[in-house]
Amino acid sequence: MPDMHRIRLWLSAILRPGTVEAELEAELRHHLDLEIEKNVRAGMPLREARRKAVVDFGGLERFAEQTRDVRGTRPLEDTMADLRHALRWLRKAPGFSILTVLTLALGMGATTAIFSVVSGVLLEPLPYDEPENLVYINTYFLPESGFDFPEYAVGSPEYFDYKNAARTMEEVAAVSTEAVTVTAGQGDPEVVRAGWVSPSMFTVLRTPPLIGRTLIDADGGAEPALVVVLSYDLWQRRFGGDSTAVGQLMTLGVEVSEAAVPSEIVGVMPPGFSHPGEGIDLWAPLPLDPARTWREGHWFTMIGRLAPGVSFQQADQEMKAMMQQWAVRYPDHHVGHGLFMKPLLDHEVGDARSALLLLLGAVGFVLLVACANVASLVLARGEGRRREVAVRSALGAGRRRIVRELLTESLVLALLGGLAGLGLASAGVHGLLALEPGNLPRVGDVGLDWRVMGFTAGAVLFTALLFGLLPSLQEARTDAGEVLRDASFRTTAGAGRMRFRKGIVIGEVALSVLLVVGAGLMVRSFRNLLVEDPGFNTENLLFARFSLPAAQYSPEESLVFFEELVEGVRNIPGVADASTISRPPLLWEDQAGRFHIEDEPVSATAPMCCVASTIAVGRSLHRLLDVPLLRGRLLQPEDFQQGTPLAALVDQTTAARYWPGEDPIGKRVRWGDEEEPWVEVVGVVGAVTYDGPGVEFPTLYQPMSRMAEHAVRSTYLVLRTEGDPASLVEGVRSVVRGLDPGQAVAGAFTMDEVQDGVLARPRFVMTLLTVFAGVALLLGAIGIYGVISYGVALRSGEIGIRRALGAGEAEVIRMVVRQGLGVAFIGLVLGLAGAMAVSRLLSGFLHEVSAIDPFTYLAVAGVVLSVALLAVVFPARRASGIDPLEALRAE
Amino acid sequence: MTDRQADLLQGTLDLLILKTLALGQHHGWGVSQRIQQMSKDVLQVNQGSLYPALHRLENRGWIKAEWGTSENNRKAKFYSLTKRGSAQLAAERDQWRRFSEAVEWILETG
Repeated sequence: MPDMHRIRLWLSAILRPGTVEAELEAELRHHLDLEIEKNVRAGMPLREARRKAVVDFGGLERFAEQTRDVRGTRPLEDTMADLRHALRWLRKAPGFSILTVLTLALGMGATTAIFSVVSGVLLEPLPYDEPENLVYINTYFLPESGFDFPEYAVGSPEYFDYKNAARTMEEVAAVSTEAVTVTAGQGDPEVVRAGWVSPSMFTVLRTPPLIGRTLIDADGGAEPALVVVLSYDLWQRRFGGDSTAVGQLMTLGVEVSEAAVPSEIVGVMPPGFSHPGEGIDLWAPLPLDPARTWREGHWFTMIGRLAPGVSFQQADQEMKAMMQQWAVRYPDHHVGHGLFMKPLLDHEVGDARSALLLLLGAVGFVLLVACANVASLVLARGEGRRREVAVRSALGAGRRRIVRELLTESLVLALLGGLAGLGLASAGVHGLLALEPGNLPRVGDVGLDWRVMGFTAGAVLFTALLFGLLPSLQEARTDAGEVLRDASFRTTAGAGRMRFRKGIVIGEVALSVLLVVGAGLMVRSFRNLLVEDPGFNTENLLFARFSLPAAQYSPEESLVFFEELVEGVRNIPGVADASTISRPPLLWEDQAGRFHIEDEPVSATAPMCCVASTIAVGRSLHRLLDVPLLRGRLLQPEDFQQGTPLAALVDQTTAARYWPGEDPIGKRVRWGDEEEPWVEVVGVVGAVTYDGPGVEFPTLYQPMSRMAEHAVRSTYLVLRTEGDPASLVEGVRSVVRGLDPGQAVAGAFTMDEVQDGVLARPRFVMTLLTVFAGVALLLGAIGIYGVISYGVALRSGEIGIRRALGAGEAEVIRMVVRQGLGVAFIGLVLGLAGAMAVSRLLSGFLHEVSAIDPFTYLAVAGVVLSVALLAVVFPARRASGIDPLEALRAE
Repeated sequence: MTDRQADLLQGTLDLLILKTLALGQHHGWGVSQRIQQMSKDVLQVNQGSLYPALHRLENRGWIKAEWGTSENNRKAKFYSLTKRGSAQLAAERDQWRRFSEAVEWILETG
């Protein structure tokens, strides 16, 4: 059967290519022999017989070709031959092969790994339907409004005004979060994050429920229905994934609402759904009165979906135009205050974006360096083979054949490099995710990105092909004879190539220097972060958050609870001191508030003159934290009792900003408008870092028991412990259980954990940049090594002559080293100049380090020159070992 | 034979090879000698066409090859007709007859 026969032929061609060829040759030889014999028998002399036979046969090789063509396995055989040839060539030049594969692997691996992380976080679409059409809406207050908040919450009238008028939006929704105590189902009472949302949120996001239903419009309104939708996690955790949970009732304990009527569970969302933010465990409808009351103030944010066919620009323009109209129509509220929108993805990614973009830039550099390296290496190789190519072309090998062979070589290299790079990339992604600080958003979406691998592989391959083929193609055109004849032809054209290669390597070094400077600056910045003084004693501190539901605790009852809690906790062995604080230091929750100083000017739209954070504290909090007292006195127990004059502390930053050169003691401040009572400043304490390293924001302290109602139900318990703070969490929980078994600790953490969290992102970026700088430096070293080696090989004749004329080893070494360092030096200068030029881009990430910090630049110069020195050691030694006689003979 | 004549006869050459092998096993040289013989020296096979033809026929499964020992004790590749080959031979014979008849008619007209 023809098919079987064909298959057998193909198999033979692959598995035993030699045999098939040999058989054909044998057959033809046999024929020829018989012809010769026939001719001899006919009386011709042997030579004549042979000549006639060959002539009659018409050229052995041509038939062999024709027959092979007919056989149809030709292309496959050629490819196999090329592959074998390529592998043999690569084995013959192990240095080149290894270096090239290494470069390819490093370039592709490193860039793929980091790009996978970046694309997973920045580029992957959000897990909703048509996520590019989702926007985030919030409000702003410009200074002309009397306030200055780049971002603030939305109020009910604004929501309805926009919702009813916007034609570019298909649907909008109000979203907010709240801490809620749940007791239903199994397990201890716990405080969870709940989404208080308008039912339209589910319409905007379009995610269907797993079981049951989501919130519907009928659930919303001024008096929303008592229904709740659970998250998948909560459903599994407290209801065991039982579908009969739908329809059950659960009571939600909320600190801002006194209603405690049970709500009906109407549905469960699929796993992975959580909006807004991470870890939302249930959703309930928030009250939205279409009568547009301002009673609640500004308290939620919004999301929306663009109408079909509408672009973000169009919606943005409509909103801006609407804000202008509102400023005219509602001058008492909307001058300098209105809504703004941005794509939801931008909002979710937040400020990770700039760090990631920086890393992406670094990735680009490393890729360029890798490509430059490959180009340089392949060019050198091409050089060395010009003779070989010339010889083969003189012998009749077709140009196509040669080109195909070179292509195969490049492909094999690229394949090997690609496989190694794949392994590196995979390990790299795992390593990065292990390092990642836990506050990179959307880390779950990160995986090895094939698109990137493809792009990177393509880039490197393209470079390899380009620089590999160029010299050879040029060769195939020039007169092969000329190349072979003229030995010095090699040197002169070689010199031109040498300059080109040097140029490439200089470029590589410059790019590497840029990366190393960046990494060096980040390292210094990080060290500065580490030694930053936060203004208090950070050792052995434990914090526990509490959020008491209003349904069970009136303000007075809350205060009593916390007093008893502090007392009970103080009695736990191992606890040195305990108190409460509304906002732990270093937690970066970015709260700003306003207050008013007596005698400062006041305007209708700005009842309060000044900005500051206000922290509610328990007794002896400042002593617990070891915050120094600078003037006046600390808060005493009398200040915490009702009926005594209101007292507050200010920190050094507030004093310096608002009472420069004066004594703030005795001055009066108030929170709110004229109806609020005056509070007297009784002391000045040292500044504590709340917002971020180096950020100094004015802070005021008030006794919690004297503050407004809404402040008293949630606070943090803070303990100074004698040993490891984490070991006391259980003790705290049992005190809580003793006071009220229905209450939960909303979260507990030590100050060490907070500090690690604060340092995590800078540490992450620093580590990555350092890794990149290292890779780039390594590649640069390979590049220098390559080009200097090549230079030595090229000039081996010249070196031989010099040695013959009496130059010592040392002199030769000096010559080579000088050449190598020269290349590195030029690259260094260019790189440092470049770093200074782009320094502004980096300064956003640096803490207390100038982007043109001379110390760092000097250190980088030292590192780069040392690496360059190392790279030229081997070629230098090889040069010194050149036997002058041999070198001269080879010419 | 010139190349032009060789081309014309490619299909015919296949037919002749098949017929030769129907009468017995031969190696390549043997086939060309037999054809020359049977045609009383009128047809001399261009060896450049012979081997490609043989391999083509082998590809199509009409003839099969085996390595064996030749008459002078040399290793040689022997070809023989397969069953499909003999069916093909019959078909090509019919085709050839009709073709040559048609050519005859045209030549006899007028």
